[in-house]
Amino acid sequence: MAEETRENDGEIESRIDYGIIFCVLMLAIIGLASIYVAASHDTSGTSITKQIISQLVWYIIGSIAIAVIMQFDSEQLWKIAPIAYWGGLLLLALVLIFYSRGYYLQTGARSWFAIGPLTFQPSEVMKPAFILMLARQVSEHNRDYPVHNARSGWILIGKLIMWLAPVAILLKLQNDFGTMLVFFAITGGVALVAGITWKILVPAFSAIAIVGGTALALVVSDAGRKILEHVGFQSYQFDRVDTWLHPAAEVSNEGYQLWQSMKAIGSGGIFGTGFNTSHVYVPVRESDMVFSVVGENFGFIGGCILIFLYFLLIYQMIRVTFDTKNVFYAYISTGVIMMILFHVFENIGMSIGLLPLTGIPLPFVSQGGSALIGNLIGIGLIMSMRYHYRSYMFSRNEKFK
Amino acid sequence: MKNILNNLLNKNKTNQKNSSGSQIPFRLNFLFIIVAVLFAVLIGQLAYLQVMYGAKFKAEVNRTDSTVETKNVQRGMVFDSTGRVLVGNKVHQAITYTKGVNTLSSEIYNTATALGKYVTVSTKTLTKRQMADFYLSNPTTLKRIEQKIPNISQYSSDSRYDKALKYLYSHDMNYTDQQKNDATIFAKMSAAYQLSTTYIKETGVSDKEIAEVGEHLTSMPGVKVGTSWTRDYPNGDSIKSIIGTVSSQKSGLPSDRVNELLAQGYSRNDSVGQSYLEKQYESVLRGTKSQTEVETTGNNEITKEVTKYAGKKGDNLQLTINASFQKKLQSLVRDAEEGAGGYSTGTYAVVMNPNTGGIIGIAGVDRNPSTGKITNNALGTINSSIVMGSVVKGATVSGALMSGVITPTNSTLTDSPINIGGVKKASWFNKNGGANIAVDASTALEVSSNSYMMQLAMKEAKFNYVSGGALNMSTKSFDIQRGYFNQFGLGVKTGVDLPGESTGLQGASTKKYIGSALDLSFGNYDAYTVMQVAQYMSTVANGGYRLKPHVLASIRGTSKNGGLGSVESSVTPTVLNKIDMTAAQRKVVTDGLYDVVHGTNTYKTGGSMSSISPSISAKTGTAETFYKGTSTVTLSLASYAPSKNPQVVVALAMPNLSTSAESNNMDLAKKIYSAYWSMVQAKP
Repeated sequence: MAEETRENDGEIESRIDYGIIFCVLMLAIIGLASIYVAASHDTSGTSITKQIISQLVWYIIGSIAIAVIMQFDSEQLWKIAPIAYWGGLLLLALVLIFYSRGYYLQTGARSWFAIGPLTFQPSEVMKPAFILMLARQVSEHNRDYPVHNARSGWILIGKLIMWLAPVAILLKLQNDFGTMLVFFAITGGVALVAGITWKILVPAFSAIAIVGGTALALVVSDAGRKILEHVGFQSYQFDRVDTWLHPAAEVSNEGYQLWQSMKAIGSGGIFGTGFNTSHVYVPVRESDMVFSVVGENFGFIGGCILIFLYFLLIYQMIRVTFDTKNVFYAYISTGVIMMILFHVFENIGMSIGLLPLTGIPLPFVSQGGSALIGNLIGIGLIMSMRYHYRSYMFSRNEKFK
Repeated sequence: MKNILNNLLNKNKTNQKNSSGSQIPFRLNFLFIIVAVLFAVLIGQLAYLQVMYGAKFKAEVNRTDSTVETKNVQRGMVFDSTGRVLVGNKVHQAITYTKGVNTLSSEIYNTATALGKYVTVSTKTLTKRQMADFYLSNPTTLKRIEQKIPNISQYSSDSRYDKALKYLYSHDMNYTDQQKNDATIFAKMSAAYQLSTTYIKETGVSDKEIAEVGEHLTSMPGVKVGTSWTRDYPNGDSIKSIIGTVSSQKSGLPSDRVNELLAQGYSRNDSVGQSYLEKQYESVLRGTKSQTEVETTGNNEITKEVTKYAGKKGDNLQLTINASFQKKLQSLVRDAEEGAGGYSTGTYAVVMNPNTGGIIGIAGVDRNPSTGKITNNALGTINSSIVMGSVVKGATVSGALMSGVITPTNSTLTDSPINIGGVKKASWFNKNGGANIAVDASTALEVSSNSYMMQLAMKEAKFNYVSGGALNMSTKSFDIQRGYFNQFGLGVKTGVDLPGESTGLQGASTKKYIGSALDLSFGNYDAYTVMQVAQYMSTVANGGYRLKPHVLASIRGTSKNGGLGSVESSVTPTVLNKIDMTAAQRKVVTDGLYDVVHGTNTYKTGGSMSSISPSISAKTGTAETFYKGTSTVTLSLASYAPSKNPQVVVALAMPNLSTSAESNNMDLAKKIYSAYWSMVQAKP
């Protein structure tokens, strides 16, 4: 009995991916420490302990969500996917009517429900739901079109757009541009892994790059601006680009936030100023600008460690994907990887002046419940793969099923 | 990790069938490479910021900016010639506010409401918009109001604020007096420039307010207890008509000169001289503001305040004006005007020192003949042009002597009416030629012969006068006569140190008006100011030096007890030009002027002033004028005393008196001399 139990325990242990847990735990600790630093230097209404505890509570709720999701195997996830997608879409639609007026006034986005002191952003949990649905759709498609040619590629792209469009439209209506970009990134990543032929992908990504490059070229030149204004762009929309390109030039409002963030991070130098030592005030550094805390307190070394943790996390996810050799899982993990990659790259990128400012949190680190839950659900999905991959242990097939 | 990648890549290669799932390992590895590349980019940028430019950013963070905060100083005072204060400063305890760097409106709201508990300000100037801005600067109130507006979410944040404003305007908000009070304070604080000090309450601050504010200073950043100054006129307000006014903190810089003054370092709410002496000597009176260097960190936190310069009170002006005499002169002038009535349009008088040009008294009143209202206008003496009449004859005779048409020994002509083609111009005592007499130059002045002056003018223009003939005289006559007048100051700016001086008025000088060249010779054509007459008479009195009149005697510092300090600069007599006359020629004129008062001729015009002691020399003037079609006379007088060694000049004019008022000018002169010798100087 005792022997068996231990063996059982060992079995369960091996089915739990401690590498991922380690990464998330480290990120959580960095996050709590950063929030502590932010809260103790910024005089906001709420107390430090209250902020820390509320973040901890979200972690606990998220961990429970992971435990629950781990119970689902691939078939169950397959079945849940449409329910989650349509349910999420419904929430995205409802938030347009029942959005929190207070948050809207603060942020200009209709993205939050608020019940008493609790707030909830449905788009954050929509991300894993969307990933599930895309994974299911791509799997079905690839089953129906085993041969990857241009035609099947175009059909798949059509399908992806069809499932992306309602989400994108609702997010546009919520006025939440940053989150919308996350969904584009997820879709792009899934399209890449789904096996659409390079004949389509290379021209498509090149076209996007050319359009993006042209737009940027237009915005930075005076003549280009005149053309853009002529077709209906407003001058304030150029301001973000200006801020991004010349952070020190205009240091009021948004430019102020970016310049303060760059000053904070830059002044951290190689080794940082040390824990809880801050000389530069950065607006909303407990949430979107949380990287400025890490950069200032722990310098280049700390920043690299943080980025390495994310890299390690993504590496483990890819490893799980290879281990499980399940196509449906592969698309899910692709989606989750893209979600985390985009958040990390955009968030850190904007804090250090590499990318324009958007309201996107740093996964597992930034303060904010909904985003944390959304990301932890993503982790839950990956962990459920490892948890259930035994089922495929004896399949000797090298390729993904 | 590398192994796995390679393995998978290899496996992928062996599995190049285009079946579902076969591409996944390669694509996943591709994705992984993208991840690695993107993270490498992040680390690259991070290295750029923290490693390459870390030191620069560190320096930027530790940088301190220093800005200079300025505070107003007391404006210089104005003293009279005897050291009495004409314009002083009343010191008030005041509540001031210095706005910090990047102060948020919610912070100002908190400070304003805190201060509002202890200080009551006048809410009279509070506008609807200011009230609404205050009301909405409380974030919770703003949110509450916005929630009352339907469809608020569809507006941008700017137009939401506009909607909120409109909501407040359209609803009767019933603000409490306390709210209005706070709102007024808020408006004043908001309007301030950062690091410049503005007054929240300048005057009428009670001791209780000072005490309560003082106790709670720490909870109200930027609020201080200070002092303010307002202009004070201990010798009466009438002096304002020479000294002028200053703009108040409330009215701010005069709108027409804002940019000019801002460029000179003024703040928008500074006091600045708006008129007359306050404006003329602004640079002296304003002083130098105190300067405090305020050091702020990169975060705009104030770390250090160092007083770099304590500021210097404005320098004081000491005037040549004698305050008590000035007051008396003003009341004499006013009395004279009140007694005149009729169509009289004013009375103006200047009393000056002929040896320095210093003005001892300058007074004037305007009268509106239709309402009878009399207003002080001392500067009427420099900006009202008046046809003065015969007072100019001293200059006419001087001109003739200089031109050589008469000489001190040979100047006798016959006074008889001048007949130009049947039109007669005559002296007052010889209207019809019944009293033709031979007069020399001095006598011509004594009896005020018009005929004599006209004959001089014609001789100067080399015109051979034939009684009854046409006046084919050259228009050069105008220029010749005005040339001599100008040398005495008549018809040119006197150069007085008061703004807005007039040159007088010239009549038309074409052939058509050649007859008027004769009127010009006895002062009945061109118009002059009283100041010009005073300058002319002092030029005669001091032996031919045309001096620049001035009211400023010296610029003085401030003594330890706040009174007149040491002389920093004083005004020395400025000779504008010298009259080229011999002593004998001058004597012809001064004898004539003496005889006007003291002569033996029955036609002498100023006999009634012979009682004035010390004796005066003078020339009276009577110009025939019209007011709205009614015949009036303008009486004038130019005089100096004592006749030997003159020390004072009195010039006055009273335009548009009734034709029966023949001695008003001399009556006023008597009173002025009497006041002068008792108040300014003892009789020699």
